[in-house]
Amino acid sequence: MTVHPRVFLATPILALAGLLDAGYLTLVHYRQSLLICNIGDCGTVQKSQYAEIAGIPIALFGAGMYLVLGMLALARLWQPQRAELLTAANTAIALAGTLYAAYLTYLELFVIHAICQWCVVSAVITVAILLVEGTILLRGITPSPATPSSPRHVTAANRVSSVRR
Amino acid sequence: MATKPRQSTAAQLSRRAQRRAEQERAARRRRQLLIGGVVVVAVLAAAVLIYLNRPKAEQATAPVQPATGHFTGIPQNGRVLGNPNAPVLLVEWGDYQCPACKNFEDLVLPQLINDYIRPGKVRLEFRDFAFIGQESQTAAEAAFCALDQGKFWDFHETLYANQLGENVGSFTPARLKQIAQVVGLDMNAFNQCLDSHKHQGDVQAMTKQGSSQGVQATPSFSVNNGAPFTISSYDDLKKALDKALGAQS
Repeated sequence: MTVHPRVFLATPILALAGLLDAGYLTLVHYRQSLLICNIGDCGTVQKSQYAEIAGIPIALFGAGMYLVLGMLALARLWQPQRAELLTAANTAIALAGTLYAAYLTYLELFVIHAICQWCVVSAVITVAILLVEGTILLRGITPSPATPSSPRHVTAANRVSSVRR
Repeated sequence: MATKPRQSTAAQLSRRAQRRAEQERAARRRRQLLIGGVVVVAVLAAAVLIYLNRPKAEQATAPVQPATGHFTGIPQNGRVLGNPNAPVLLVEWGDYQCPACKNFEDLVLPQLINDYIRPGKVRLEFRDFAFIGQESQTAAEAAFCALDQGKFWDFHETLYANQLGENVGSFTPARLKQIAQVVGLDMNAFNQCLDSHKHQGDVQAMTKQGSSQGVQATPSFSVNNGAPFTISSYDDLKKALDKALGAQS
């Protein structure tokens, strides 16, 4: 049970997309005109009392999360011997992010009664990262059946890094 | 004779297989622990974040605050604030639930009053553009009821001072009545007016009118009944007003 080596590149790419999205939302949060409320979105979500935790915009938390996810996923490519721990950390972060994004989407739908499309994009990216990391954790970091006589456990991460070299 | 080494090889092989099976079992246990740990940590982290950002339902019953009194001493004629003979008419379309309109009320209006309204250069008319939700409509109806009693602007100001968020119970009928009390309205007349939805049609008509004139966001403004526009700072408004005032002189 292993995963395709390319799967290990998915998280850095998704995390970059998430970072851009959350970075954009953070900029919007700080730079949005405080004086316009448009029909349809109204900046309702970004202006709501839920848009910040302790004065820090949630979008900035999101950007931080994607940064960490991306860096850990890159570290895994360079440090395959720590792949299991790094994957576990990433899965935990992505799972927490997914649960929290589910809560935020619930707030958008049932409490604030408005949807912020870039927040939905972020939620989808977080779920995608969870699926990738969860798959790697459950399937990827096992001794590869292709190399049973290998003296050490060859992981898919090892193989992808050797492919890259 | 030749079977002995073969046996030992077989034994070796089975020992090796056993060892590998044990290692795999240990690895599986370790991974189960790891996955369990991942789930526990993630759920705890999400729970903390959700707790920090939980809905604050108690807000809807927040005590009603009196307004700041920006309009003291300024002539009020129905929906129009300022000298009725001021050369420039500034119209604002707003929604009482709109946070941007509250920002306008709190941050921009005081400067507008000082620079243009008190000196008698501009008169400001507020029109309803109630689009955010039911409470927008009810609040606007209540403001019409205050208008019936000649206290539109006092009520208007107190509404914004008590805006808590969108569709969170800021402007339920009960809270609107508390606001009316703070403003000092005739409560019998107000309650009757609000409960009978006397001005439901007026609010809807005014919103529709704004829409037909091209209003798409709040607050929107027009100068001397020109095309509606939005602003991103006080300067935008200042420019539009100075232009209109320049054209007058």
